[in-house]
Amino acid sequence: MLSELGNGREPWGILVVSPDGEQILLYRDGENFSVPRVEIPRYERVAANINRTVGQDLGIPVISLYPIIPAGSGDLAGGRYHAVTAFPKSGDLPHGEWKLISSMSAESFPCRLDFSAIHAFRAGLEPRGAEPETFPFLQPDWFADVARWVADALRSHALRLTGPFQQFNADSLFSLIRFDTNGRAVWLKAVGAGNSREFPLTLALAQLCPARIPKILASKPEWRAWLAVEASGVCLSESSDARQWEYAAAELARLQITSIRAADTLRSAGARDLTCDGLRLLAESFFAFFTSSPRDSLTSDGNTFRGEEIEDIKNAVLDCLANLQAVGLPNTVGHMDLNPANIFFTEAGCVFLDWAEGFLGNPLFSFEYLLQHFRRAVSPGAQEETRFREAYLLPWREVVSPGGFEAAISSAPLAALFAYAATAWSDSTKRALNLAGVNYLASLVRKMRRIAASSRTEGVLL
Amino acid sequence: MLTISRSARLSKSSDGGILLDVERGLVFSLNPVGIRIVELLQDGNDVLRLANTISQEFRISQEIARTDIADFLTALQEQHLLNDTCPNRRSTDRGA
Repeated sequence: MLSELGNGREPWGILVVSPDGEQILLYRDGENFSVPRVEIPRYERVAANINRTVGQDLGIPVISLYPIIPAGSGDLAGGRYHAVTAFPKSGDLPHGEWKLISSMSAESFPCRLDFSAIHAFRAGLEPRGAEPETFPFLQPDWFADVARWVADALRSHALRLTGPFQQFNADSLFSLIRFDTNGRAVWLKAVGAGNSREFPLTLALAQLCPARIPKILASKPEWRAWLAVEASGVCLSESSDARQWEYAAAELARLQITSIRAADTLRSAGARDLTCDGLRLLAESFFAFFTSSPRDSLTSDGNTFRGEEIEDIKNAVLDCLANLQAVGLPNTVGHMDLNPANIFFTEAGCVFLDWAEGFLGNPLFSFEYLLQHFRRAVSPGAQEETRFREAYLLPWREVVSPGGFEAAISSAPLAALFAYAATAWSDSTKRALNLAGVNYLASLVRKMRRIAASSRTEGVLL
Repeated sequence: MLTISRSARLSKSSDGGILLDVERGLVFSLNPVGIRIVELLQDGNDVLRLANTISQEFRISQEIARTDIADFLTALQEQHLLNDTCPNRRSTDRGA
């Protein structure tokens, strides 16, 4: 535990299994066995780090499968396990030895969690009563299927795999892998049943605005996967140049304008409904959550809300939504995770990535999100921020009557923050909402309270 | 004698396939001709036999088959996926 907290790294037990899932790589100490252990940086991509570290430490290339949660692990620091497939199992090993999983017993493992993890892995391979496509990356030999599909898809584009690849995310449901080719690199992204909107929305946007979405070479609905050409150019996250940010803001406006005529398409592709009408409906249940929950369960810092406070915040949000609706801006595609790492400058303009949080709603919500990142990255003065806003508004002037945005912009920050909070809340209610989740939502409500208060005293928000 | 590396694993699809290098963790696309060449090498065929078979099966001239095979074998060698176990060739290499 101390080493985990002290050096920014976390230990993982690694279940290195053969492609047929029958054998596992174990360390032997007399009659006892243990699984290999590695340490990887915390808060970084687990699959990429585990693949690299296992390759370095054990001397064999592996494909990450998924985390394993053994019974009894709780929150123990040593309770993290991850299954990987040897690529495929090779005969000579510099470390450890291959053992038949079915031949192992709990008595052979001084660390009971090691055996529990192996047991959980084996139990997880059993059919779950669903179609195999539901968990396309469950079986240890999935990589060859995926690589063959990628190779076949590339062939019709005169591209071929040329060796290296890097796996970034791994689970039985989803996958993110970058493959080198004889041209630009390509990315396979599979989002699984857990994210029902990203797959259809990405495909719809690629058709609707091909210049501003990575080029999609192929898709596979059974895996909810697509193969896209790597976005070229410079990532906005590498820039603190205000001019580049202004350009990105203008490109965002152009993307949104292109999507105006496609509201029905976006809706049927699963875009989240963050229209003002939709948000008004959400507001009732969202704020009711903060008034109906036991007060001491809301926050851990004692900073709780009184009923009348919540009512004031709700009314301020509803006012902002009504203002935005009265202005009559069209609903467009939006991106609730518009951080600069998701924006690339290419020769033809900006490309926007990662539409897991795509929505249909007021265009200013996405702009507000980008504006927050602009402030962090550039630390702009008043003039720079005005130019940034102007850059975004300029393309809109051909579409929306003069003054339309100016009338809307003062209501946007609070409404956008509520849209973000309501999205997080709506998602979290589908799972068990833990204390950290409640605290996070409460912090967003406190921020809404501050914005609402400042709008009352200053009259404008920006 | 040319042989495919022990670390190479062939995985076929309907119109091609992939070659995995299991020791280095690499994956390469193969078209149907490449697939067939690897299969023939795995069966112990020499280069002359390769050219004849590829020429017949893919209905191309011997000359084109030899050129394609040479290019492909060079690519395999560059990726360390081909072993040359010919004693004469080794001695020639040593003399070079």
